[in-house]
Parts: sequence; C-alpha cells; structure tokens
Amino acid sequence: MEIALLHLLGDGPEYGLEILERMRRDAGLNVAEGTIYPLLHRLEKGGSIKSEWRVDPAGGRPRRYYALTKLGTDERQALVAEWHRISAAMNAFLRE
Amino acid sequence: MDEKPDAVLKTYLRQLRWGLAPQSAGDRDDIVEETRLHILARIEQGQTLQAVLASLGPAEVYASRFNDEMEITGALGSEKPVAVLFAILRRAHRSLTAVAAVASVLALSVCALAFVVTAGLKPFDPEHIGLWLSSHGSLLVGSISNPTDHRELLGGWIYPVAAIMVTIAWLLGRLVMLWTLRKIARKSHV
Repeated sequence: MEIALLHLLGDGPEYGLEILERMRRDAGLNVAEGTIYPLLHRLEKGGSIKSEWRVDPAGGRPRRYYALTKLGTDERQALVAEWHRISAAMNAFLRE
Repeated sequence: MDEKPDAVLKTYLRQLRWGLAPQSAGDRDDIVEETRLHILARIEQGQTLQAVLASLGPAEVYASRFNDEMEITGALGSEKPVAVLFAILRRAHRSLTAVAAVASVLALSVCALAFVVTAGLKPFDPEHIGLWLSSHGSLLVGSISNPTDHRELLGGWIYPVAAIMVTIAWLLGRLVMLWTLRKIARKSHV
C-alpha cells in the first residue's frame, strides 16, 4: 500500500479522499477507509511526504494536500525498482 | 446534511480527540479536522453518517491507528533501543515477527549477560568459573562444582570474549529490532 501511495503522489499533490479513491480505482487496492490517514500521517512524520491546507477558491471546504518530498521521491524510486525486481523474478519462476 | 455537525458527529470527533491524547495539540487538531471534512465529503457523496463512521471504525480504534503509526515513526526515527523494544513489545500479542524478535533479543542478552557475569566472577574462583567443554562435547559458561571431567577453554581470554559478546549482542539485537519494527510498519497497511 505504501508503494502505491508514494507512486500516486508522484503524479502531484492530492488530498486524502482523492488518494483513497484513486488507490481503489486505479491501483485496484481494497483500502479500508480508516487506514489511509494514519499512513499519510506516518509518512509525513517520517519525512517522506509533506502536507498543506488549501482553501478551495470556489468556496468549497479546505483540503489537506499531500506531496512527495525529496526523501519520498527517492523511497518511491527504490520501492518501485524493488517491486519490478521481485515481480520479474516471480514471473520468470511461474513461466518455468 | 447541514455544514454544522450533528450530535453523533460531535461525539465521534470528541472521542477521537480523547483517543489522540498522546499526540501534540497541533497534530490532534489536524487529524480531527481532516476526519471531520472527510466525513462531510462522504455524506455529500450520498453516504449516511452512520455508514461513514462505521467504515472508519470506533473513534478509539481509529485514534489508536494514528497512535500506533506515530509510535512506530518516533521509535524508528530516534533509533533508541528502548523505544524500539517497547514499540515491538506492545505488538507482541498480535505479531509472530514481534514475538520472534523479542525472543531473539532476549536470547542474545542472556548469552551476553552470562559471559559478563562469568568474567566478573572469574578472578574470585578461577578454578571453577569459565567457559567449559564437557567430556560429552557440550559447552557451559559459568560455574561448575567438579571441573575434573571438563576443560576450561578461555582462561584470561574470557574478558575480551565477554566484551565481544556484549558488542555482538548489542549490534545484532539493535539490527533485529529495527528490522522487525520496519517490517511491522509495512505490514500494518497490507
């Protein structure tokens, strides 16, 4: 789930509800409603992501947007590379 | 639903705030406000308040998820062995990895302690205290009453060996604990 979240934020800053929806819709993950914000807060405390409150200029409610930091970008690259390595090895194994 | 939260939502958010007591005031405010806005957005999408609250889980359980995550982050960030060990111990009842890590650290500590105590007592009774190899091939560190069928292996080398054992136990135990907590942190969202 962490790798999907970091990868998703690689596209640009997003707020919690949209992150949750995209992880379900785009990544096909069955993410429980109550797990996404604790994970976001942990990653922020760990320095992988940062957040800021933005007020909707159209008069909507404020939203807290999350974005990757330099550390998070590096972690994302490392996790994606590791994922490709493992999936390639598993694919080769299953083809045998 | 009106912008003004109703009594059920207010109660949920109040319980969430209580549950977040270990967090700083700023973090509490951010989490509660973000949760409130999330719930209101879901209601605008057509969900009922009860359904949204049910999907988040009871307020105290939801709060404990934040507290768990923050504890793990704090322990990993500080890398203080005591903080890491306590974070693992608190998860030992629901993680086999945590149990295995605690058992490993305990075994390493006992082993190192046995060498330290043996080295400390060696000068007082060098004939009976040391690292012994029995005639059956088993090793024993400590004191034996009848050394005739045992061979003492280290002599004065017990002191540097004890120091090495403490160093190995410290480094290996620390590595095991950090690896375990990182593994628990990643698994908590799978």
